[in-house]
Amino acid sequence: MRVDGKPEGLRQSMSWVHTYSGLLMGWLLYAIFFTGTFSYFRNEINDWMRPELHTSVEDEHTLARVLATLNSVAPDSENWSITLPGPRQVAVSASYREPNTDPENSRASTKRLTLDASTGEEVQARETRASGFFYRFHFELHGIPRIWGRWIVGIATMLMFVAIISGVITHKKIFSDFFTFRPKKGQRSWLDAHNATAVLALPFHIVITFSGLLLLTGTILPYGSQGVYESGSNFRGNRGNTGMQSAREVTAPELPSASQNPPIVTALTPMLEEAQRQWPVNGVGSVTIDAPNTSRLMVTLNERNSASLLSGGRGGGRSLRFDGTTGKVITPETPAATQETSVIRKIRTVIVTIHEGRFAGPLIRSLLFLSGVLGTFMAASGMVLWVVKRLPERRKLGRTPFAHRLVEILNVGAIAGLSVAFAMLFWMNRLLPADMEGRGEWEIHGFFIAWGLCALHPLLCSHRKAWLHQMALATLMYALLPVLNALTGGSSLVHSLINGQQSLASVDIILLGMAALHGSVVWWLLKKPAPQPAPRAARAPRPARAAPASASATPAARTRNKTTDASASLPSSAALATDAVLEKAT
Amino acid sequence: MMIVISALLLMWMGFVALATTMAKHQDALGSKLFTTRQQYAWQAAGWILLALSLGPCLLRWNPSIALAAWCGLLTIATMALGLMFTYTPRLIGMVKMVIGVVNTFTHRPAAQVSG
Repeated sequence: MRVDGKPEGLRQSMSWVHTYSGLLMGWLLYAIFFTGTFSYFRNEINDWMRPELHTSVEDEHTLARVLATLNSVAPDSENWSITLPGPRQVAVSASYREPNTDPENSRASTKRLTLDASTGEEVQARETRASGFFYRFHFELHGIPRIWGRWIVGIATMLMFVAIISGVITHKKIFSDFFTFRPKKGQRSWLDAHNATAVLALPFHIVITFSGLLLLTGTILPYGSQGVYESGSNFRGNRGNTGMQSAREVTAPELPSASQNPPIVTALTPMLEEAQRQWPVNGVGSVTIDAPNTSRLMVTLNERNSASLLSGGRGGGRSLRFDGTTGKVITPETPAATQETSVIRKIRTVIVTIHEGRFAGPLIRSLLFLSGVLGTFMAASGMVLWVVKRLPERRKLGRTPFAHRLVEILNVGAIAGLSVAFAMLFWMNRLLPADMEGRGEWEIHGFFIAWGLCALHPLLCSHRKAWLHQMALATLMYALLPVLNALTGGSSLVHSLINGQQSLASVDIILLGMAALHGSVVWWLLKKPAPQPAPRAARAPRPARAAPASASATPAARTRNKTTDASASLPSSAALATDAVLEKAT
Repeated sequence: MMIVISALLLMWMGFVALATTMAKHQDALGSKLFTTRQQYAWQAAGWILLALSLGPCLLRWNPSIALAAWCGLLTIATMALGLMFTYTPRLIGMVKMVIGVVNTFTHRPAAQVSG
């Protein structure tokens, strides 16, 4: 794509493709990566956002209490199912099917309850839409028709895929630069950071982008499934358009207080011991009881978290089924019902499961989260790099072209602004009155208002100041959130760590991590000397500090690097002055 | 937890071994004067260590998940080494000493090799 029509190599043309496929959708991709990364912890965040649940602490009597509650609420139910608290949920979720209902409409008769693990009583949590909102945002945006949102995200994902592949081709020295990060060298450092975050988590980036595309195929290429199924709506990819939020809105009746231990508890104890013996590591995650309070009683215990990627991460674990009256195991360890599935189907399952991380225990979840953070940083550094790389050109021109200024403004608004807006979600969640009408909506409004303000703010001040202000604001907002959590009825980090409320503790820790991340950017910006009329004096200690890392660089290259560094992310006029002096010196 | 730490350690050592043959890190790791033979040996050791690091993951997880975890841990190990090269030259100096010691113990004089 050279204007002068000269031939160019593969690498150069790929470099061009990489730059513009990345830049065009960069801000959107950044937002998708950001919200998608947090979606790995959306169950945890959903717990955090309902402080009413935070008193729930599991102990050995939790199951007994839950059974007592179910026994008093639905003694005649044909089926109870209970999911115990775990790394991803702090409260007990239970559901029961009501007897004697219309057989044609079985779904509506299932009632769901959220129970406090320490009391066994039902909890009426506040309305919150925040975690569902950012999860949905990462694949269908917000405020536009769902199908459009998915199309836009799909196109952005495709461009991401293009950017990753062309980026690998463009990157000349993947292996010799593998462990290299050279700080304090302006463009060089940004390029190193961009490369490192891209290459080191490359398997993740490729898989997540490709699987993201696969997940959206139902929307973008519906023809295959339309051909097979009549309406296409049976296909998984379109599931979001039909069901998904159906059963959640069902409200439960008022609970009478829990009665004495029902006989079923005594029957269950040996079964639980047996399960604990067989699965010493993971333990029991959920319990299903068929026909409670009858002679046909049947108990199924499911192991917590033991799936493989092939099983799609759900229900693939081992389970034990007991005859309730004799207490005997009916089928010892039934493996997951292995249906005959095609290879293509299996590959899809594996790839999609990795994307959604449904299989992941706390450790792998944090690995996925960290890789997501790297990906988010990769997108951000790529866009900053676009600006930094064009500073010499700008200096030559002696002014800032409109496009450059536009990218600068969008960078601050999209990158720093999103951090502030995301923190705003958490703040709104706690500051809006718990019983407010439409508070779920207002959490989301708060997010967009904050983001909009952050997008306008860089118009009013210099590029550097805009970064500094917004990053400082984000740092403050994230750092204070764990405090706000404890002050507004939530379980403090100390409390949740002591009581093993993993989901709550992990959110608080992530928020503190976000504060540290943004804080270090603020620190770095502050340490970086502001544009000054006498740049040589301000720059004097630099070369000495940078020396060990740049031992192999030639003096000329070092000066050049220094020059770019001085002007990186500074407004162009100041950079021009700095540069003129330095160039004279060389 | 022990499993994760051991996997990370194996990976990290594997990456150090691989880095000894990379031009950029030969100064820091003192491997500039390695003979070709030594370079091959270190490289082989590096790959073997990386392969071995899959072992602990397989002990902990079902194979499909173990691979995913292994990739994630590789990212952490490389990041750690990369940041150490930049920010903890002293620690890298210690690594250099260990490499030197290992080398003196395993080194065969060049005459024997060529003869």
